[in-house]
Amino acid sequence: MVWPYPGSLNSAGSDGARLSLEGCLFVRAGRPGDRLWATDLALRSRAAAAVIADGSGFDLGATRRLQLAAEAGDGMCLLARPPWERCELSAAATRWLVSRAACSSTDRRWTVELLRCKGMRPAAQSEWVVEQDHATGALRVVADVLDRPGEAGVGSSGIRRTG
Amino acid sequence: MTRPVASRELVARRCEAARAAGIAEGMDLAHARSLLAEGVALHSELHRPDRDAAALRGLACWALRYSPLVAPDGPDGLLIDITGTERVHRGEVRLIRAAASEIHRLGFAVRVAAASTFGCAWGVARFGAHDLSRVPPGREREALRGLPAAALRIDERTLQGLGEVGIITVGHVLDLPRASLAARFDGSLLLGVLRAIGEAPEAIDPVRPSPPARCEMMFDGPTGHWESVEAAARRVLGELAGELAQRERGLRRLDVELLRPRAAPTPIRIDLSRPSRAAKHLWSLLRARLERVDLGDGVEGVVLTASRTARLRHEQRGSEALGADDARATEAAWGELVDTLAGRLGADQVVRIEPVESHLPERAFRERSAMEAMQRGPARAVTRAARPTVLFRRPERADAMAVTPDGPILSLGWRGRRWKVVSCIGPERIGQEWWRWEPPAGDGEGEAAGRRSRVRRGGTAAPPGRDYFIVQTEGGRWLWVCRHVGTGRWFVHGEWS
Repeated sequence: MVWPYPGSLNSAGSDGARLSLEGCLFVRAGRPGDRLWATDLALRSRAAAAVIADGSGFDLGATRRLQLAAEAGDGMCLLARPPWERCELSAAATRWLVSRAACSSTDRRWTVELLRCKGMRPAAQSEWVVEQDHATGALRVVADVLDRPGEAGVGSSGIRRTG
Repeated sequence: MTRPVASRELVARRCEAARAAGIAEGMDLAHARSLLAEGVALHSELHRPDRDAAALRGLACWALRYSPLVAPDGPDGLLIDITGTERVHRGEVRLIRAAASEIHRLGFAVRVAAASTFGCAWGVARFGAHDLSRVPPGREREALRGLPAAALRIDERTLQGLGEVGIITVGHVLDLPRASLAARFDGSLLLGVLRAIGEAPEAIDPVRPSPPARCEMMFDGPTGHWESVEAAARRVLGELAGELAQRERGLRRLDVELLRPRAAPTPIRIDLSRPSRAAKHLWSLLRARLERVDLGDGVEGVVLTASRTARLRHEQRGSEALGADDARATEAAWGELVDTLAGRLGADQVVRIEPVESHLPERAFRERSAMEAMQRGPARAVTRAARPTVLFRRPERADAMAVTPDGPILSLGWRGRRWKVVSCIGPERIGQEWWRWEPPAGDGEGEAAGRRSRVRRGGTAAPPGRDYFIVQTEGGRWLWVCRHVGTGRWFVHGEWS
């Protein structure tokens, strides 16, 4: 995995326990142009299986370029975008809105909403609650959507998937 | 150093301290142990003659500073042809002294002799009366006369044969008629004698260190055309890659010089994360750097030097199509990716994160440049406990309300507002690393209180730890809250976003 991040991510605590760090490469790219270039390069390389990048400020052309790169390199790209770019155009295959959800138990919860999926009609259910088990760190989808609390928004981020 | 002989271990080499204790070469290891004083440990390891030879070869390359002709000799000697080079060192005597003291500084016991023949120098260096000696030209016979016959570089059997007929010193051998030498002993004795006194020629096999691969191209005159420089650089790079392929080496560092009239050559240095001689990859790296170069008044030539190389084996072509060697191809692709990223963004911007054996969260990981190869086995993180996705660079002050001192937190004051706590997991105590901890000087009131409480609790001063709680606030925000055990202050150290 290659992680172009503009300095804000403090790696020290980032769930190092769950991730195999040896296989990860962290890339700091200051300017947006460098960020796009690094993401594109990593996607085209056969060494990177997946690329997670800060996608803020990428326009339609940039996402189109990444889409092509992902197809060429047979990799997956996840772009994290701030919530105010929700209405920006993009060439991504799917777009998701992830927001924090409160939970009474000790597990962490998020609401994941599928905003757009290329070539698919909006399904009846496009919203899931994902829960992370505190002990094992495993993610699971919570079947019961009804007890979903209505809180959403603070710092929520749209994650789009390309390729 | 020992060598196994049948079921016994014999001493093959020994250090100075062992020699002083009376341990001799060829002695049984058990016997050697018994010679040592009580409580002195004996360190022994297997003698590896091949490693000796490699080290001697390295020393021979080092000794090229004295003369261009240096040959490793036998298990423990160097033959240096100093003909003519004594002038550089202002005299033979100075040269001998300098060589002896510099080799001694490298940690070797050394004896040096200079003579007109290799044979004479060999014998005088090993059997002479002094550590440093010089035999003036034409005095070889006198110098050798008093030495034991072994100084003639003869094998064990010949030496024994000589001893049986009462020939002990070189002088005895020299007094014998030549014809009987050749008739009664094998040819090696006569050859040894003749070589020692300079009547038979001797050639040595000097070491030849391979110079770094270097390719260059000169233009007829200075050119300011970027395209010509580019084409030339590309062609030279191809030549260099071919040269490296012949040597079975891969590039680790490439130095490029663009020669300019009336200006210093522009140095371009390209480091690679792993050895490569793929012309296409090298060119993509070089091109990106060349583009930024100011050609100035024009360029007269392009010089490429492979300053650092590493062994890179030949590979079979076309294996990719067959689907074999996938791991190696991925490895190469990884190297190319790292090089390209580092070439544009800077080597310190492309990092790997490495776990460190520390429980303190701020010290548990460190960055390493991805350019360094990862030879060592990956370190393991000490703990698999839950850690936040964001760790604040400085823990932020907070205040917490709890029913009991160690009980769950009810509410939290942080970043200027109060947060109601929905759930709370903990505490997880992380101790301070005592080897880094210094007892507080007592400057703050809180520190003093901490010291009092420690003394009250345990009697002995221990570094204060931290109690960490995983806290969920109203609204689903997960925070990592900690309390200093010593001072009782609360901090928010991280957050799961």
